[in-house]
Amino acid sequence: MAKRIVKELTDCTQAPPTGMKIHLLDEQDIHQWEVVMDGPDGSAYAGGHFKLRVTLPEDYPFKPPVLNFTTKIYHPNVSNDGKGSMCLGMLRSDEWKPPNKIAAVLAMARNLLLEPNTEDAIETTIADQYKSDRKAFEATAKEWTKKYASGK
Amino acid sequence: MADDERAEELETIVAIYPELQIDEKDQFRFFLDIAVSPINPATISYPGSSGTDLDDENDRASAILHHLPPIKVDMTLPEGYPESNPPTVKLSDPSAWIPASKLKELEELATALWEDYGHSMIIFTYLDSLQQGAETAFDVPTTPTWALPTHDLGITLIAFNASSAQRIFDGETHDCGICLEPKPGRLSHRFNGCGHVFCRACLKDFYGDAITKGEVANVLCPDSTCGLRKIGPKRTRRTKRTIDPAELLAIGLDREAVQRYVDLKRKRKLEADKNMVYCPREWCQAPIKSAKYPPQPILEDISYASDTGDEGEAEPLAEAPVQPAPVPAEPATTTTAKEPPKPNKAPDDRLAICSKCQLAFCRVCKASWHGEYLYCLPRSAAELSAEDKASYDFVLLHTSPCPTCSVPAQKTYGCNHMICPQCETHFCYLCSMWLDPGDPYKHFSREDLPCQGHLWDAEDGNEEGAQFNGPRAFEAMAMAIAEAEAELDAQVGPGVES
Repeated sequence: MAKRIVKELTDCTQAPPTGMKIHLLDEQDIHQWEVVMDGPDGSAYAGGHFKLRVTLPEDYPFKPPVLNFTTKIYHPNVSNDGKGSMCLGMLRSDEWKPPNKIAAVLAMARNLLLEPNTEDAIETTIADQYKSDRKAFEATAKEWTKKYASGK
Repeated sequence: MADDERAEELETIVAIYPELQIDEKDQFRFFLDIAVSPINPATISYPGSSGTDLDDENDRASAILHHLPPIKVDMTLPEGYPESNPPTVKLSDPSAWIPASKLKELEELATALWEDYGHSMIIFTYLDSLQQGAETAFDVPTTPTWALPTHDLGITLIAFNASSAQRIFDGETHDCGICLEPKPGRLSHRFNGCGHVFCRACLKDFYGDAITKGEVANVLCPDSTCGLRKIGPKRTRRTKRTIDPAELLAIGLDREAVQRYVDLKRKRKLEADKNMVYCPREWCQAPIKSAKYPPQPILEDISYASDTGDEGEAEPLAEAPVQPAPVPAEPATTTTAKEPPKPNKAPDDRLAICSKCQLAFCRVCKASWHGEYLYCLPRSAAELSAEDKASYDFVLLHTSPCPTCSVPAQKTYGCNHMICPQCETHFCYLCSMWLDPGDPYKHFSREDLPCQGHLWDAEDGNEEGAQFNGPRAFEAMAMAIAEAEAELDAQVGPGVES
């Protein structure tokens, strides 16, 4: 399935999904991608550049890719434990379907920056705050964006 | 010159219809099949079986067909065509779905066209009009419902439709959503249920991997939208239908993998059943379904059988793969037979017998069977210890069970005529058989029984092995029933798992 990964990588580098730059972490290893995702305009993450790691399992695309924010981010669906992991929707192994593509996974992740999914939150306290006190949530999210994601 | 004209026209026609065949003997005769794939698919309704009455509306099957058998054209250009003679045409339809009158009408069309066109070359015009007719199935009323006269015609048309669809599919190219490459249809698979298409190599890898890892719930159509339904503005639900084993074989998975798939699916189904208990022996763990072993009625049957003196009823027990003598009419005249043997009326459905290792255990407390009189509390299988097994083994080795209540009895001294301390049943310590309270010692003098002359064996009680260490009465009975059921299963054939 290396062929498929190369094909996806070619597609992603030739026509990158909106607001993203994609490259291999190590040119020798097609299973580790690094993505720089721009915080979408209109969200608390606007202006930030978030680094993500996409790890493709050996049996990709039979198993879902693993997504981690390597840039710290204040978000209900991203674990705030230094791992920055995401596990929802098509990223879950019981939801994953082999025809899904990495570009679609990334688009979903970016969409979550615009619209967090509080139903399926990994950080429930952030989700509760998002629901009950949107202002405080946005303040912290913006602060973190400035602090951790304003670099290049 | 006329010959040249005919040859010239045929040459053009062959270029348009490369599948056209010229007759070997007559260079001006040719054969051609006109495919019939009507624009509006035909909806057929046909008798459900060959014996069904045509008017029986309850037994009709239906199907939607996109392809109907071709109309066969046999055309000859006679001497003098086109100036003075029209072409002769014979149309046929081996499966006879087109009415004969319609065929005749179409045949006559050739001459009519020839007349209309002022005796000029009309082969293309004619074939083209046949093709146009095919688009509407030659006006055969195939929609909304086309009632076929016979079952066989229905089957013929369905088979033709399926093979045509397959041939067309094989000739097409399909983009596989897994390897993201275009693949020819003959290397692809279209799912029976949902119609999604993937290449067989990818499906084989995908399912092979899932089955090897035991993830049988993932053996679904890989399409990301398959089975997805909207159940709200933002919510969707997925109907998950696992792939049929036969389809996995068609995709090219090997038999072994498909067998494992079937076994695992069955196992999952069993595990999902809350009524399922498992053999508590750690090395066994076989599933035991409660309905399969109706436990207590067996004991009752026996007493009833003895009551009527009907040896035939008790006969199967003799074939239990176990102990010595058939259960005789010994207790027939005893109180056991006249009164119900147990005080509690509800049959004790706690007893379970493992079909694999034959362990008799209680499905509530998971301990080895303690008889129906004991009150017990639920216990999870995880709590079972080596102690339980040791205890069971000890009981087997050092006690004999009462044939009525199964209480383990240990003889300390005396003869082998025992009276149950719990239910007062008389029984033999050596073979655990019921004894007639009126003449209990007869058992030890009967020539047909192995206990003859052994009344005083192990008089001081501590001789190991003197006890009855075969299956307890209920074990023997349950085993006999299990065996009879297994035999029945073997005759009927295994239940088909869907």
